[in-house]
Amino acid sequence: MEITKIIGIALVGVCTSLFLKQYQPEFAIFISLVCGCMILVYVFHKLSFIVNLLKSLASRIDLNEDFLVILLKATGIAYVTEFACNTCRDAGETAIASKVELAGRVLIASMAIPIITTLVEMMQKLIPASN
Amino acid sequence: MEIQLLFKIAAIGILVAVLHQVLCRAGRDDQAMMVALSGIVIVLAMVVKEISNLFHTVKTLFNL
Repeated sequence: MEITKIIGIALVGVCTSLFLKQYQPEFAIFISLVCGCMILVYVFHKLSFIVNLLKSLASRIDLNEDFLVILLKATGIAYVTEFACNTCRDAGETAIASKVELAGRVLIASMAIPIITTLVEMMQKLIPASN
Repeated sequence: MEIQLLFKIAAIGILVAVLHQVLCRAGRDDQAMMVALSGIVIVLAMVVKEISNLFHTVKTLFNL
């Protein structure tokens, strides 16, 4: 029962952060940050099995290795961005949160450029009239 | 997964809050501010370690 551990950590974090918010609001942010870090690290250890499964499945079929790497990178950027964004929003800094979100989107889009160019090349091959 | 770290931060927070209140009541507002600041710096050092742990995990998992 690993979910009980995570729920326990989350509830303890919520209680302590709620208590500290009245006296020292800065420490409430720290508590939520550490709580989120712990849960994410725990979840990522479990997620590594799924990633390994995906990699082994991709090696079985004839899939370009670069595309899977780009997909994984985009997922990682999305997770980390979401974490930072939610922390900023918890602290009441919606402006910074939206900038972080924008940065994550732009980075993922710039990373997907090779996939997009491959797609365009494939479309050009499929439509002979475009040449 | 060390729940002790959470309790440690909570304990430092309570200690700093109490010291802040006592020093404020005693009329030493500048020292109260310094106590709060040092508490924040100490806890920030702990939090940064945890965040770097998270980033390291993400880097190795998603080979960023």
